[in-house]
Amino acid sequence: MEEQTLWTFDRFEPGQIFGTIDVMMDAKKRAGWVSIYGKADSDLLPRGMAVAAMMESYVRAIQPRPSGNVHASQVLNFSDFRPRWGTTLSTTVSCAAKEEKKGRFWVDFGILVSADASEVLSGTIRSIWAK
Amino acid sequence: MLPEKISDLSLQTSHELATSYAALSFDYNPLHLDEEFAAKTAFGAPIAHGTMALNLLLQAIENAFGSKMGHENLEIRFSAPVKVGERITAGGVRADDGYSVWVKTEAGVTVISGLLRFGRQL
Repeated sequence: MEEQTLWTFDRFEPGQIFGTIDVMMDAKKRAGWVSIYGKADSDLLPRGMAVAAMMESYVRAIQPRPSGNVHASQVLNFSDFRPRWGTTLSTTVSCAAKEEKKGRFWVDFGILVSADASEVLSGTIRSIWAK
Repeated sequence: MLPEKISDLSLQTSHELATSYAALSFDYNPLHLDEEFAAKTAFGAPIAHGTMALNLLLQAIENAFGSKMGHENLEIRFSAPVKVGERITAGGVRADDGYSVWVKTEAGVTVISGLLRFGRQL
């Protein structure tokens, strides 16, 4: 099996697209959400579940990654489109910017989450990359 | 009329909850789950996923505004770590151009701070 190269800071380039990851908002996800945050009576997807799916896509899209990366800040822009449980969220992950500052490796990842060809949310994950 | 505050919403974190959130978000970073690994980091112990606390805040926001929401912009900073086992509370108050929002520990440490704005009139 081919060994994949670790994603280190020097490999990131602004404008890079890491791919689009699909995550199904199925009964297992719903049960997982309820086990943490309590009942989800509405058929509409909680905004936080879209954020959890965004994180899953971000983790899946950039592999293998070093241990110990830190999520420093987050920007979220929600549209007025609310997907329902049972739909599939598609998240495109990209590199928006990077900079080395005071010995820390800062990387901004752009994210765009959509469902049924409509935008659900966009934003930026700002991380301190471990290596 | 818009509420003056976003009512508090709390969550008791735990190793079990961190494990559940790891499965929900596919984020198995050992910083959140592995005591031995986390002990060797600057945090000294496992810390909760940042978005676990962020999603508590989003739940509090949804409770406050419900179906009236749309085109909201949320900018937050993870200002301090949440040690796994700590109880956290999310809330907010009206500010000039939106709502000042936060998540705090029981000790009063702000772990998330930020601003919620609406892109359309509610």
